[in-house]
Parts: sequence; C-alpha cells; structure tokens
Amino acid sequence: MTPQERKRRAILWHEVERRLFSPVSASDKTTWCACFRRSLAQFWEIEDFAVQGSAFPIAKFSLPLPDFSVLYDLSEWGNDPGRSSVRMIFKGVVFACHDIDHAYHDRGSLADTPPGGVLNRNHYPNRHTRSDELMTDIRWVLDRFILHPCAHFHPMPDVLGYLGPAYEPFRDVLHEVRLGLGITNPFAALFQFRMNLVLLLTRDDTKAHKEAERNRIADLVHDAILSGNAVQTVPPGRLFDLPR
Amino acid sequence: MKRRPHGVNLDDGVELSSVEDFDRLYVSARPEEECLLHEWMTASRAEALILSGQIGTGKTTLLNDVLRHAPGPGVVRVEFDQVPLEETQGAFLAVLLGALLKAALALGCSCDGLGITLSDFGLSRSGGWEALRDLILIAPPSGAEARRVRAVYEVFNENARQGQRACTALIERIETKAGALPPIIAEGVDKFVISRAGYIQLAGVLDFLSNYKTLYEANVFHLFDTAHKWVGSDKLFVGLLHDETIVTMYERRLGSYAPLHRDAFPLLVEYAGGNARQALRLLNGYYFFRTQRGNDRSAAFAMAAHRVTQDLLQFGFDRFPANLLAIFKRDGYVEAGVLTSLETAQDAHAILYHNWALLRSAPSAGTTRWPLIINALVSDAVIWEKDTPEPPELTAVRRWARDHHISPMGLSMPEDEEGRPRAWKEIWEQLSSSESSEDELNIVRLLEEVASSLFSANRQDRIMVSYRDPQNLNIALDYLIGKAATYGPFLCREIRLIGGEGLDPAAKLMAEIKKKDEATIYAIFMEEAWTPGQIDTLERLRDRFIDVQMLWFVEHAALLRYLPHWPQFRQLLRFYTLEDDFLSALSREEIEEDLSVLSNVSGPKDSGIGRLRRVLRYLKSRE
Repeated sequence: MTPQERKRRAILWHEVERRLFSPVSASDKTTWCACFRRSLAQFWEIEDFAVQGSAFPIAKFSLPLPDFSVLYDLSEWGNDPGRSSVRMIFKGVVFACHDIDHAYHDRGSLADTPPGGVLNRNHYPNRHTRSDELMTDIRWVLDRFILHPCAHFHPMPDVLGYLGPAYEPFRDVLHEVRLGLGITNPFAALFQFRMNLVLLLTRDDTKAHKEAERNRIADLVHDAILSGNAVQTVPPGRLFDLPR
Repeated sequence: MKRRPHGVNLDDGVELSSVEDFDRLYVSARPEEECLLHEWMTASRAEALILSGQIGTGKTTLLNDVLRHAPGPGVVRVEFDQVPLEETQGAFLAVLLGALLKAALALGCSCDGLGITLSDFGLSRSGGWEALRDLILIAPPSGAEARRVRAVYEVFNENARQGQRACTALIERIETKAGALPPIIAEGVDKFVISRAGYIQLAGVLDFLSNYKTLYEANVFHLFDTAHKWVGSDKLFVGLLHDETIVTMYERRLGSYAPLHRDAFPLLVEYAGGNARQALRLLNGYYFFRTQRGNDRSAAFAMAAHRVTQDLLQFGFDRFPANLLAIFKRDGYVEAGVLTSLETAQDAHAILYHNWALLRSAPSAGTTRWPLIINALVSDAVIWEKDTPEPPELTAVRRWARDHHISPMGLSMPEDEEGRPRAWKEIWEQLSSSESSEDELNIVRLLEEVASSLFSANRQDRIMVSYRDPQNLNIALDYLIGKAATYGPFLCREIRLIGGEGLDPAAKLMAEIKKKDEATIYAIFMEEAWTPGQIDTLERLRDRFIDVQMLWFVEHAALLRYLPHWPQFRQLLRFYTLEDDFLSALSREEIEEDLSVLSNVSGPKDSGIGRLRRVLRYLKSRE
C-alpha cells in the first residue's frame, strides 16, 4: 500500500462509517433501524416476516436459524459516553453480548482525526482512473470494516454438536461467520451481523452472496462520494435495498 | 413469480409454470407418466387420454412440464374452466373453437369455408378470424363486450352441430398443415363436479373431443361417470407421491435452510398423505410457526396441522359420510362399484373430491379395487385407533395440543370403549366451525400470519379474512396495505363485488384483474348475499387467480355458507377470522415509525403514506 493509498483509505473509512452507519437524529435512527429489520429476510433469503413493535431504540429480530434471535439496545447511544449492546439469544437464553461502551476508549479513538478532511475528487487526481481507484478503496474498506474485520470471532464447529444434528451441515460454512470484535459503532455492528449471519449451504455460495452485497453497497458509497456532495449520506432505504 | 436462488421458496402449493419454477423447484416424481405423456404428445396419431387424479396431486404441474417440452405451435390448449363466461354447451363449444382458431392461425391455416362465417357472430370481415378468436378467448373488459361474447355462445347453443362441424374442419386443417393430429389439451375438466349442471353441458363437448387426440385433465371421480362416452378413453392416473419425493420437494423449497428443519420432515411427510399441495401447505405452516413464532417442533407441527386441516379439508359438509370412510379405512381400498352404485356414489365421490381419502394408485391388473388411504389429517379426527402405537413425535404433538386446548385432527376427542371418538355430531360441529381462540386474530397478529404473502414479490398468495363487525374494516385494510408498502412498492386495488340475482360479480372480478401485475394486491370485498351460482363460478375460475395476490374480505356467517361450494377454490386460500375488537393492538408509535420508513424509501405521493396517515388519524381519534 502506498502512503497515498494509506492516507485516503483512512479518510475513506471514516467516510463509510459516516455515510452508512451514523444516523444523527432520533427520527433518522428510527428509520435506519426499521429499514435494517425490514431488509433481513430479503438478504438472508428467507420468507418475509412482519416486524412488530418499534425498531428503535430496543428491538429484537430472529435469525434464520430456528431458536436464535438478537436483541439490540441503542437507548444510551445518544448519551456521552455512548453505550449500546447487541445480545444473542438461543431458546430464550442470552449467550453472548456485544457491548459497546465509549467510556472505555479503544486505540483508534486516541489517534488523530485523519488529515485531509472529507474525501473528495482531489484524493484521486487522475480523472481517468479516479472511479476505479475509488471503487477499489471502498471495497478494501468494506471488506475490513464489515466482511472480514481484523479482530473477529468464529463460532467453532464443535458447538454445533450441542445445538443438534440439524446444524451439522453448516460446519464448513461457519468459517464464513466472522463477527467483528472491534466495531465501536452499534449501527455498523448490526450491519455486520446482517452481513455475516447469512448461512448458505456452501462456503462458495455464502462468500459470493456476501461479496455481491458488498459490491452493491460499494456502488452506493462510490456514487455518493463522486456526487460531490460532501455531507450526503446514503438513505437507509437504499442502503438496505428496500425495493422501490 | 420470482424465486430466491439459494434460500426459502414457499407458497401455498400452486402449480409450477415458469422456467425458473421448474429449474429450482420441480421434482420429477413420475418418470413413467412423464414418458408416456411425452410419447402421446409427439405421436402423429393417438387416442384420447384422461389424465386423472385428486386435487393437489400435481396433475397440472405434470402437464405443464410436458407442455413446456412440446414442440411447435400445434398444441391446442382449451381452458374449459377459465375462459367461459357461463356453463352452457354453446359456451364450451365456442371456447374450443377459439382455441382451435388460435392454433390454426398460428400455423397459417385458412379459416374460411368452415361452415360458419364471421357475420354469424356479428363481426365484419375486416377484423379477420383473429377478431373472433380474441372475442372468445380474451376476458371481456366491459359488460357490453361480455354481451357480445354471450351472443357467440348463443349461436352454438342454438346449433351445436354447426359448431362441432367447424371444429372438425379446423382440426383437419391443422393436421394437414402440421402433418400430425394436433394434441388437444382439455384443461380444467377436474373443476366440474358430475352432479353440477355445468358438467352436463360440458360433457357433450368432451364426448365430441373423444374422437380426436385429446388429453383430458380430470378428477378421479370423473372416471366413474359411465354415462358419457369420453370416460371410455384411455386413462393415466396420478396417484400419491412417494415419501422420498416429498422430502426432496421440502429440500428444494427450503434451499440452504433445509437441514435446520429436517427433523420435522418425517412427521410432515406422514401427514402430507402423498399429496403435493397438502405437503407444501403443511411445510408452509410449520415454517411460519417454527421460525417466526418461535414455537418448538411439536407445537409448530400441531398448529400447522390444525391450520391446514381447517383450510384445505371440507369440514363444513353437512352430511359427513363417516360410516363409508370407516369402511374405506378398514379395507384399505374402494371397490369401483361403490363409486358407481346409486346408493354409495354420492358419498364416495364426496370423500374423493374433498380429499378425505386419497387414492394410492389405479387398480392392479384384473381387479377393480382402488387402493387408498384415509387422509392423515382426517384420519385422526375420524377414526381414532386407541391401540395403534404411535411415534414419540406424534405423542408430543398430541400432548402439546391437549395442553393448549386446540384440537388439530381431533387430538383430544373423548373415546368410547373401542377407541372411537364419541358423538360424531359434536366432533363435526367442532371441526367445521373453524373457530378456536387460536384462529381469531387481531389485526397485528393477522399481519404476522399473512406477511410472507403481502410483503413479497416472490409470492402470490390469496388470503380470505372473515369478520363479524364491518366497522373500521377500511382502517384494517389501510394498515395491512400501508405496512406492506414499507417493504416494497405495492399497489392496492380495492374491488367491491356485490352478489345477488341479476348481477355478475365474477365477470366484474375477471375484468378488474385482467391487467394484473406482480406488485398489485387486490383487496376484494364480497358483499351482499351471493347466489349459489355466483359462488360456484369462483370454484370453476379458480386457476385464474393462481398468479394474483389477493386479500378477500367476507362476512363470517356468509363465509360459512360459501365454503361447501369451494372444494377447489379453497385450496388456493388461507382463511383467517378477525376477532371483534381487531384493531385494539395497533400502536401509534409503530405507525409513525412505518411512516418514517415509507418517507425514506418512496416519494410523498406513495399511496401507502396516505393509508398509514389515515390509520394514524384513527388512532389519535381514539386517544
């Protein structure tokens, strides 16, 4: 990676987070969460289901695996320091909790804000290659932010023995489930749950499905940045591909 | 219908038709029958053949599979159930003529000199024979157009022989042009019950067709109508599917997620009874209760069985032939004589038509015994065998049902000393009422149950909602459609069909859904008292609704009267009953959230926004 690439990708990482995962007002957060929940069945290729109850700040959704569900709580996310939790539930028992507590800083939060401000066309001076370079950068960032976070955990195949024989065929695919540990934005955390909990029967199918989604989102970010509008975020309806 | 490439593809068990349907979901279950039908289709001459089977066995899908491989334009498909506006011999002859004209014109045959002229039907020569073809085959968009179609029927009602001669001439011309007798597919004969007047009118045309290479799509009870010539044609019977086939079907339908539900397959297969549609409806119900309601396997199965029993099987029948069914159960077969004898035929036909018993196969050579099983969903309700050992899964299901006071399959029936349920009358009243606390839903719960249909362009399901109190029904519809709009760009067309003497609500419906598209939900209100004839017409037209997403609303007492008329139509429907205070579960916060989503994904003119605003105003007015 060249120093220029490193610099602009650092800025781009922030851009991606801001444009995709940072609703500000209560209304925006509500819309984001509601669109998120509506998108799950479509992305996971399961039957559509009605989502009852409010999507923000606390809500629950079922995973494609029977008996599994997720409960998120974003009620303290607007506070300073912001806090949130995403709990994973099996047969009514919470067995894991992804807590985000900004009272405890991570290393990234101590680093300087990336120099160069908002990413713009000037970071890609060659207008002939600009679009391709930007796309390469966006995919690079999305891969590391969402698809394959640097620090992540896999459910280990042996746990399937406890869940029952029905889960055995997913043994191989489990390695495609990578739940990021270093994600400090709860919206991004929810998004990567959506992305990483799709379980198709083969690793290749699962991988291809996730990459197709990554590419779709990359297109949205690419267009938003090249539009020249520095503040434009991606509307949740488009982020989650709700049909219109 | 769009299909998901890897995931779940459920529906209510409608026939497969598109290339994608077949590629993803078709299980070739009857290779011998397929082969025979292919040979029949491609032979230059062949005798008439009856493809028969009970409702939901997969006849139409089998036929669609054969037809999609049929070469060229020479195949004549005659939709006797869907096209005629009335059930007269003239109407059926006209539809046959229309289908033959279609094939002849596609092959470039001359249609002059048939013994009929365009002027006989009030048509000028300038429109050509295409005008007559279109007039007969395309659903009329208006009342005036419908009158023109009926005038064509009248010509043949007055002179049926003239119509037959014209049909014969067209068949000969097609044969000359194509170099082979055209296969004539008489579709939808299975929708005509022998005892109905419409069948008597149709039978004359079917008899005429028996002289040609005709393939009849019939119900099995037609085979015992010895009074008509066409029934003497060769026969190909479609019996029960093997258990392995149903398992493969389930695997395809659930795609990647199949392994998660395999543990339920044995029980689902057992209660599917070898019937494709029943199998899919059970899977659909099970999947919903298991994944979306979070029920465990036993509870999900019990509720699915309860739901499918109520939806598919005709328990509103006022003269349930329990004794005959018990004899069938004891013997494991039905003698052909029982299906033709005056004393027993009516009950025996009812048993087969309503799928209370399922024929396994045609009789073996040299016998007249049709092997059968009692439909497992009926069996437990009707013939309770105390001493029969049952698998632990079923015991668990029964226990669950008993504990929750629901009686799918008569799970908690009181028994007599011989292990048979006591008091038939009470049992049937209980089963036919379709009412238990589990079935009555408020509007939020109803949405949960029908969501997969309403929200998805992947499905075209038909839901029938009955209600006791029509007040605020419009708000309920606004809520359902407005909520659906937050998931996708749906349009809703409201159609009010008023029944009664001198009206033609079915024709109105056909005209309204003529230009159907996937993104439209048709909300249909059945109003006033429909006459038996009007109700029967829906039964015959059933297949017209297969690719239409419909939400029917009907007053509860009226529905109970209509149900006995719909053994076929009800197979396309799921039934729900709204409780009296069905709007009580709506919350203002949720509607506001739905509005925020709709504002984000669509423009301000989205009709869903208007609907949800009306719901919001209603909720505010209640506070």
